[in-house]
Amino acid sequence: MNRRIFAALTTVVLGFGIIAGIGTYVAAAKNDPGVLIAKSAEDYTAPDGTQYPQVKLSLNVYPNSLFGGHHGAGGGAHPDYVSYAAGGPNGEVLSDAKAGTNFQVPPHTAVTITVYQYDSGETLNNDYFAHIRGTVGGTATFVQRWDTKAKANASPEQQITNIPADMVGHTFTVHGISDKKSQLFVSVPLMMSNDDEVTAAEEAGGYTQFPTKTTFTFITGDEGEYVWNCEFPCGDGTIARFGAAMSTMGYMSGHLIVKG
Amino acid sequence: MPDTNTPYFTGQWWKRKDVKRHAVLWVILTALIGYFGSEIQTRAMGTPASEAMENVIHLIRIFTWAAAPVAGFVAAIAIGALMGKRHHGDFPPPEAEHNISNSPRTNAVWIVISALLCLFALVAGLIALQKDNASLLDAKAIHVNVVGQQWAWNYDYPGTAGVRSNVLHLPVDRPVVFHVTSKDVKHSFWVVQMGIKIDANPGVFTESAVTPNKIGTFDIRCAELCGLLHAYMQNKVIVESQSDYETWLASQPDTGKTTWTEEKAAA
Amino acid sequence: MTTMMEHPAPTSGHSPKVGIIRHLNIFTAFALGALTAIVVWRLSLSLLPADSESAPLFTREDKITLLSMIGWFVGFMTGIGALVAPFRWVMGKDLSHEENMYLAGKDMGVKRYFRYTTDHKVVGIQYLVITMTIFGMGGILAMLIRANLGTPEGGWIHPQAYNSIVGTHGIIMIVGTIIMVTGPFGNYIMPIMIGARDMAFPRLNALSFWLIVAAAIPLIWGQFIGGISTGWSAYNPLAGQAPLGMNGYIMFICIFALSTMVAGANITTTVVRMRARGMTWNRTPIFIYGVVASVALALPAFPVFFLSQVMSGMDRALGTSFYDTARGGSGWLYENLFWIMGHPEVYVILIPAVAALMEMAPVFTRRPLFSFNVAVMGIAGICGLSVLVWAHHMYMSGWAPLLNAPFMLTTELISIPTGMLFLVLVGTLWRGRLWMTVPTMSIFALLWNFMIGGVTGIYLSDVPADAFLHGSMYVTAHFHYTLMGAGLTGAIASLVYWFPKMTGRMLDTKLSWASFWLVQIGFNVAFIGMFFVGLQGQPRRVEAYAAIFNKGNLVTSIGAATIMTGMLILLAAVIGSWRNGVKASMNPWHAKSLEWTVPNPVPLENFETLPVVTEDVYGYGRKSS
Repeated sequence: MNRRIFAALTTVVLGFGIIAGIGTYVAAAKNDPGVLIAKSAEDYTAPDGTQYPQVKLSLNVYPNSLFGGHHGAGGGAHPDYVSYAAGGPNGEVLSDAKAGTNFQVPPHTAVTITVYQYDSGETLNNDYFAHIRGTVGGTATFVQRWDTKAKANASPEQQITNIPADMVGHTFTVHGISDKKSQLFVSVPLMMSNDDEVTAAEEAGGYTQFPTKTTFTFITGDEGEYVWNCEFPCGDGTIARFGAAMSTMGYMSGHLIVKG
Repeated sequence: MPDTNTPYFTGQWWKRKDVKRHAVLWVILTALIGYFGSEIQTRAMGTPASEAMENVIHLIRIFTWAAAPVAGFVAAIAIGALMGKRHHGDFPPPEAEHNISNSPRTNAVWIVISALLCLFALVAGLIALQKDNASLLDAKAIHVNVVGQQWAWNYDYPGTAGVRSNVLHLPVDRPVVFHVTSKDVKHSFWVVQMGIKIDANPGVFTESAVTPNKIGTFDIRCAELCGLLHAYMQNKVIVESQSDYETWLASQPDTGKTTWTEEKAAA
Repeated sequence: MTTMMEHPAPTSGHSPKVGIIRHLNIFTAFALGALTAIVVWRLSLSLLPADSESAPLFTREDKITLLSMIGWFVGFMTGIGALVAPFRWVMGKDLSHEENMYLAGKDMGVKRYFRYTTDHKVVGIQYLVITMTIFGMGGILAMLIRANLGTPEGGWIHPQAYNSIVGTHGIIMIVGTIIMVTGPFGNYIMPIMIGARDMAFPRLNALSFWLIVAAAIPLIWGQFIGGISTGWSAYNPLAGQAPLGMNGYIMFICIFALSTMVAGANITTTVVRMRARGMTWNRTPIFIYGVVASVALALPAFPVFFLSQVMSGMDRALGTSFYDTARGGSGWLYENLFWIMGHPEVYVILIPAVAALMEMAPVFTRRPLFSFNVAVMGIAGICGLSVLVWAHHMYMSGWAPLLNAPFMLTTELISIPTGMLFLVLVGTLWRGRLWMTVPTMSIFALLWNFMIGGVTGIYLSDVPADAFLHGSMYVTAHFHYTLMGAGLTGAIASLVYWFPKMTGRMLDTKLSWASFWLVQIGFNVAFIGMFFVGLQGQPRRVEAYAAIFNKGNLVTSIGAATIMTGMLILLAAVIGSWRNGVKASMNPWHAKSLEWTVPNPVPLENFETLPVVTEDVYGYGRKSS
């Protein structure tokens, strides 16, 4: 073969090799943890009587990444970032959770999510998100004080449709791309935990014993990829408080993959 | 090609063989460019859902046809040049048989025609712009407040008890004015099939108006990079009959507040 | 070049008068730059006070990052030797003749490419290499974007990195295209073409190049501290919210703007003051007009860009609120400043590329350039109008709806001078004898691509149509057609055309033809696909999209891979031909401009005796009686 042509072909192969290499590096460098596949549970009967298969997820929200979640020892690169993480079945803090912001659930299924919210809170910038939207019945089951030691409610359980807009810790808001498939929109506000207790616990090197507990169920549609994020501005010290943890995958946002 | 013995640049130019050939090419190419240029583009844009979008499609069609003769002219000469004598090799071909370096008449014609086309485009645009602007002032319009925030849209409906939704509902054939704002960074409110768009700026209200004229479900997409989940900042808009719209409004829970008032919008 | 030592052994051949200059090169520059950055970083880390928990913005990390980057910049420029001559001048001991000749790289061999060398030919080659490097990096990022957009869900690269890749691709390609003609060819060829021995300010010439190298590092640095997640336009307040990587963008732009201003002043002065005797404005080649128009346009534009980024940096690091609406600033202010730079800037890119092809058209059609005066008028008209059109990027911003109509007027007027450039090119093709070379076909490619880019520009200039098209992939495809389809095509043609003069060898014909066709076909496939998804309603800068856009995106990705293949073949051709290509004669294209009257390789000061111009540079074609 002509030397020139050989050199050209080599350049092309090398060039694409370099692109593939850099791409693989960038793709692997995401500090985005693995996918948590929701656990199957007993069938779910909607208020209108329809039966759905059901999956369940248990999540925790922390005021920082120091002691729980999936960011590695000492909180990883951003120990001061607020973060979602996979939690134990009773809201236990899992210090070595491998996932917590990317979830996979089957299509046309009832997804029941329980969130234990360990952070304090403030006022939403948009009280639209103080209302529960897109869940079955537009409601959620709420416990203001959940005792993680006794594994029991420390205050009565109630059905709610909204919470005061100035007592919001975080929200769990799922949305997706506008296309031909069925649309999924779920937004649930998570009430703040007691401010003093959160601060005291942090000084003691841990999380409060009494997080709030919110449980809600929504029905998935067709297969597709959705995202969720928190709509409570909790990226302190950034413009609109939406930078930092809010703009980094793996903390207050992630993917919800509907796939069966 | 001209006979080398008879000087080419004498006699009436429009009788020359190659001028005629280029003229034929020009006409054919103009037709092809105009037809395919406008057809392919307007097909891709799909069915319009408002008069504003019909205007956009119309403008793209007439601009394409207006540009087609110019593009056709350039293409005709380019193709003509490529079809002429081509020379390959390491040494240059003999120099051209002429040394024309200017033609004031051609220059003048070219500049006048391009100025006229430019004027035409401007007038067509101004007329359409005037229509769009006038729709903002329609007294029969309903008003919807659009709030963009990192990475969600929501809409509230003034005049109701406080109905707010993440899917936009609109009655058909009724003008609607959007008052758009943002809670954090810039977003851009784009109702795709209705051909309108306006940026959502933090701290201020911007206005855009449209009259949906088709019942159906259409797309709203954010058209300004707004951070991490910009790609997912999308919603549906459902255009329905007036009665369906009212039924829907009545079925919505009273959330107590709306964020939009006439005073705020006026400020 | 790894054999080069950090401490080059003092050679006996040089006069002892050549002081510290001898010891400074790219290695000392990098070493001193890194050292200064580390020292400043450590100092600011320990000295700067912590942010107050109640402050609206936390700025300490931004301060540290920006200070370290400034430290890098100062260290690097000192290490390369940029400060030696000014320092000596202030001390009243200006550089001696030996020192100046040493700075010009006399008898230094290949080492002169790694120093603060003032010879315009060295700077030209340095620019050529850095332009190719920038396009290589930008191309790799483009391929990552296209790979990620192969499927609707994206997800191969996660959103944060994706946004950063889009922004970095954008800004470095913009920078690459700004320097792609005026850098290599404006520096190497232009002074010879006007019959000068060097630039008017040779040291500023070296400065403008090394500023770009200094600028590159903060940008790369920024990639590792959060990236540039805002797109190349870095709109505020999003840029204020973005991670620390934004500081890399800010520093990059500030230093690059300095480089552009320095180069602009230098090139303008050179052309105005140093043309050969007899080279009246009517006999000055059109390429010179293109280069001067480009840099002269950059002169008012880039200080504004500089300013916009300084304010952006102050918002981040000092807690000011120029652009933060919540505290009384305005995002529209940023948009205005940005586009006051941004719209002249596209013509900064385009004009020299088109002018280069106009320069080549007479050579390869063997007839005079058609309507030289109209070409000059077109260039001047574009320059004049382009500073009055910036707000057409802001039709939909809500900033000033009442100004939409006047800006629509100025924008559409610009089609008239642009049309003049087309007239000159087609007029030159008319009844010429085509010599089929890559530059010749590039003229046709330019006509095709620029026509599509220009006509789609008319739709976008129209406010109601823009209400649909703004912010969509249609815009992306449009400016790729102008900047890449027209601009880069002109730059590659320039490379093929002037390669023999710059390297003394011919660029491999077969490979450059293969590259030409792959790039042009791939380009049109890619960006017609992109027009299509734009019309269907796909927004720009998204990492995932609705399923209906999949076909168009797939087509675009395939086209992009084709372009990449073509570009890699061109790279192979350049490297191969540079090392052992066919030796070129002094004037391989039998052209009539001055750069072809000097021997290969071009001697240090170009001309033994300065030439006197007596003839039209486009005097081709048989005289008709």
